[in-house]
Amino acid sequence: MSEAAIICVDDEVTILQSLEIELQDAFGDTYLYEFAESADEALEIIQEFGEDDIQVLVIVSDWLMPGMKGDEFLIKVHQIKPEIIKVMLTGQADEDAVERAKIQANLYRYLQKPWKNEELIDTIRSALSHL
Amino acid sequence: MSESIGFEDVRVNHTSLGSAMWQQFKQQMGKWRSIAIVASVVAVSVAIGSETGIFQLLEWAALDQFFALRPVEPLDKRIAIVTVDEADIQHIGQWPMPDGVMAQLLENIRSQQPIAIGLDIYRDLPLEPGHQRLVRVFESTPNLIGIQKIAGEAVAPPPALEKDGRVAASDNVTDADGKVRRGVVAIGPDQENLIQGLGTRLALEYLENRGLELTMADKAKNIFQIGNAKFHPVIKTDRGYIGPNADTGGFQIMLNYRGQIDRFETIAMKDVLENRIRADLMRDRLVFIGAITPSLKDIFQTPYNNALGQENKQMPGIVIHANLASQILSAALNDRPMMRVWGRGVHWLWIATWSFVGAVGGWSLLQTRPFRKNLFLIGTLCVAIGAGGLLGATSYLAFLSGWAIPVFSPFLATVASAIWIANYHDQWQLKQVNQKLATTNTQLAVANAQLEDYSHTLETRVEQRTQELRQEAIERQRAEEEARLLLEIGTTISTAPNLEMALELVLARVCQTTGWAYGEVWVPSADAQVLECLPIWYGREDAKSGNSQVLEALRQQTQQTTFGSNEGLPGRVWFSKQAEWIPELPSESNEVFPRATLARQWGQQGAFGVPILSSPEEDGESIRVLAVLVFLTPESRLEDKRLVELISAVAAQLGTVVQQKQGQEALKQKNVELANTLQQLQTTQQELIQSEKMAALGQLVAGVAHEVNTPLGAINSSVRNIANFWEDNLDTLPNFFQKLSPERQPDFLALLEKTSTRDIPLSTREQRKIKRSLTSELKEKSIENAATIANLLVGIGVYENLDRFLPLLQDPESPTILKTAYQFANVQTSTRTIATAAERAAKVVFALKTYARYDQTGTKVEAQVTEGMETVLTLYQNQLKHNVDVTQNFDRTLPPILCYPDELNQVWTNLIHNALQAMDNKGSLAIDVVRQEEKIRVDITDSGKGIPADVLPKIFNPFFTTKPPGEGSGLGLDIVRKIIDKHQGTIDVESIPGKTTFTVLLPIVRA
Repeated sequence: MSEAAIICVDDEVTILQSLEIELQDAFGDTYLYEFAESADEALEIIQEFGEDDIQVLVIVSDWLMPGMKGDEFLIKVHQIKPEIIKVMLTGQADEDAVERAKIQANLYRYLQKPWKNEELIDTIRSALSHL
Repeated sequence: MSESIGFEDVRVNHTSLGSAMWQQFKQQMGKWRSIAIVASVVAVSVAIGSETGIFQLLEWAALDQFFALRPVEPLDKRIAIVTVDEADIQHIGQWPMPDGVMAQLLENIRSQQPIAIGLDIYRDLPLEPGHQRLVRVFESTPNLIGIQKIAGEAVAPPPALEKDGRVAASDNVTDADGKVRRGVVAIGPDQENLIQGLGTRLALEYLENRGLELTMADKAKNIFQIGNAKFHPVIKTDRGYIGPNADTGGFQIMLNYRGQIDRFETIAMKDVLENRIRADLMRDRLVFIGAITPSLKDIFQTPYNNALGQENKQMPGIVIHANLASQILSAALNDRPMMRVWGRGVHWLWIATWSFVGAVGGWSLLQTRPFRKNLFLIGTLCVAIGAGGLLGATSYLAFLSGWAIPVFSPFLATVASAIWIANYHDQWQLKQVNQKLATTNTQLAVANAQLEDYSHTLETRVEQRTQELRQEAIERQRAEEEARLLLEIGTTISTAPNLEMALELVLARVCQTTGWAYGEVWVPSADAQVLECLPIWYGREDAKSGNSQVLEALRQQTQQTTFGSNEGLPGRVWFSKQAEWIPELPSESNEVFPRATLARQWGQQGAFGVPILSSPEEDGESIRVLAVLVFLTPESRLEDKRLVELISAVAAQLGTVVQQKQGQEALKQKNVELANTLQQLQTTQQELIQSEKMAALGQLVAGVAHEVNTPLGAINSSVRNIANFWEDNLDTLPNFFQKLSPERQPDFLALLEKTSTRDIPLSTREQRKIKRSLTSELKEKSIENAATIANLLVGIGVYENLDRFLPLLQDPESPTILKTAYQFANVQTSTRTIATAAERAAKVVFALKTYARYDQTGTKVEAQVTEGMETVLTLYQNQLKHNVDVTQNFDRTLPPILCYPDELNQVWTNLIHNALQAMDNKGSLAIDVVRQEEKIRVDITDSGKGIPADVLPKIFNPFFTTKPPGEGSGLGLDIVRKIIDKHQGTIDVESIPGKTTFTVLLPIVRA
């Protein structure tokens, strides 16, 4: 079993399912994949992983979500685990919010929905190669 | 002290304690001084009297009385006296007795063996018969002492005795009254040749016989001593009983008589001659022989004579000698006192003492209550008796112990002092009373003077006070006038329609009050460089009409003049900011007073300038001069401070008013500006409303983009996934199926069935939970890669009942089979995702289409309110779907109404947006669209925190917002209301925490 994980956050389950298939297809069992429908849930998972000594490598997050917005979430994550690579994947984001995330959360990449499979996978791959 | 009682009323007149004490001290001093004077004068007088001897008789009488009073003393058995009486003379038949008889007498006595024999009978010449025999007896009797007389008619001693020195003096000294009070110790023609007196001689013989010897005790004072007996000579300066003229020659002492002859044992000469002598009468004694018969003249007066209670009997000389001898013996052997007297000094002191006693006693007595009132006679008598008694007793006791102290002179001093002091006391009392009267008089005089003075000053004071009151009245009147003026000016100014008119009225009022003829106003120019005169001014009517040409010229010049700072009177006031008074204008114009000529011509003499100052607190800056008032005065007079103050007060009031008026004018200007601003704002508001609408739209569009892009993303991804599946598996699948063992085929089909019978996708949480339980179950069943397997199973849709697939899972081909089934499941998932996403996207686009449908057509159209509401809810679905429980209660039978549907949509959007914000996108949202009479009622209720009561009334106000600046225009609800107004509807709100309801009522209007 792998000790490294990739987390995807989106309030839309269909997106998460699509992402799961894509990731599974691209990386197979190399990583653990986790999916959360809200920022709060994602934070819970991060904490659980921390306890189980599982290293979170990449987070892919939507921006427009009920409750905590994507930029805020990523900033929070950055405060806890600055080493995690953060990618934003969203259909609509406030420019200021993206800017904020870039500065305060060291946002790695900002991808727009609808996205291209290669684009996403390449992004994650290049991110992973940074580690 | 009793003295002070009488002066109490005197003393109380003095206020100060110190002065009272001084007064008392002075009185005491006065008293003692009087006493001292009286006592001293009396003492001196009595002493002088005593010196002259005028009291001598009385003194002696007193002493004599003491002798008489003294208890009778015992017989002196050491002395025997052979007496020669008339009977003895007759017995021998002749006198003087013949020598033979004397010889016989002496022989008989000698045979008795006395210690010494004193023969007090002159025998200077032989008297036959028997002379030879007598001579023989004289010579053979060594203890026989003869006599001679020294003083007066001298009588020689018997020659036979003289040669042996056995001669004594028979002299007795008498006082002026002829009494013998002194004894002769020794006597002689001069001090060098003294012979002892008979008594002394015999006493010394006796004492020598006893072994005692006469010694000099004190040579300076000439005091001799034998045994205990001291011989103090009576000297010239001794006083009391020693008169001034007394002959104190030789060595005399005071006699201390034992008594008269009966104090001695006697025997008649006849008995001796006949030898009838008692055996012990003469043995070892002193024998005196002398005549006692008065006829022989050897007889003397003594203290015992004429003394009260004593028979008047003179004392024979022989008894006096015997007394002296007895005195000396008793003093020497028995401690019987000798008799002494005082010297002059002590005597005087004694007199002075008693003089004081008399004075003090008298005064004291007279001060005591019983003697207060003119009883000085009785008082004096009391003093005399008391003092006399005391004196007598003292002197008597002294006498008994051997001191002869004078009685009379001290008594006299006492009584005299007492009398005099009594007299003086009387006078003194009188004086006291007089003094008191005088004091009272003085006090009365002082009081009188004060009264007079007061009555005099009273007039002045009354006059002064009257003057003061008059002055006060005048001042009060002036103050009232001033107050009235100020008040009047105050009202005048405030009621004046504008500032200039107010100033004009003030000028007039001031001039009328002060009597000045002319007033004008100077104000700083716009650039504040110079002062310019306002066109308003005041000139007195008569002045105006009387000399109007000059006045006109003056005005003309004034209008053309400006004053720089510190130039001319206005400029100076402007510069100094202080009122200035010019008592006298120059007769012709000069640089300082350019208008002086005209003013003079017009008859004005002085000028006065006063600044109108801004109040500092209003400006917060330094005080400015708003204007300068200048007045011309028709008379020349010195500066009137009051007037200056008054006008300054007016100016101060004016300052406030000027500022107010200026403020009012500024306010008017502001109002105009505000009106313009309002206009601009209203225009802006319209623009704002539009922009708000655009903002709402923009927000909506942003949301819509997300809502569309998200399903597009899902579709895109899913399509790609499906494509990948076929790409990857098209070649391998037939191979897979071929390889699939017959036992595993049903398992695989069962898995595929699972994939197609999956319900709604599980939530991620549920998935994780199932994965976890599956993993642990697989681990229990010792299946490798439990986590991966569980992941695949969940993806396929196998959540439980692992037993069914246990054989499969234990099969070595299991991973391939599961993986393949999983990929089939993914294809299915992707297909479903595409369907769902497409549906969603279509819905969003539809809603968007509906929302914007009626945009800006300007005319009402028929529309269903519920439809609009549903559209908005669809657009907000993204924000509503989680955490918000939406309850819709729509009356589907409602008719469509004439409305602006897009604008109503804006209303619903706004209200729902607000509701979601109020409850932080969590809670319940109830939307009711129902019919209420002829209206449609829309209630939008949220479970948010509610609107505070103080905020509630303001929420429909434009620009009101509770959001931080920049986040909301605050126009949302204002626009909502405007839209509702446009539909003739109403909007209301009710709010408590947890329940806030916006209610919109729209009339049902049909086409």
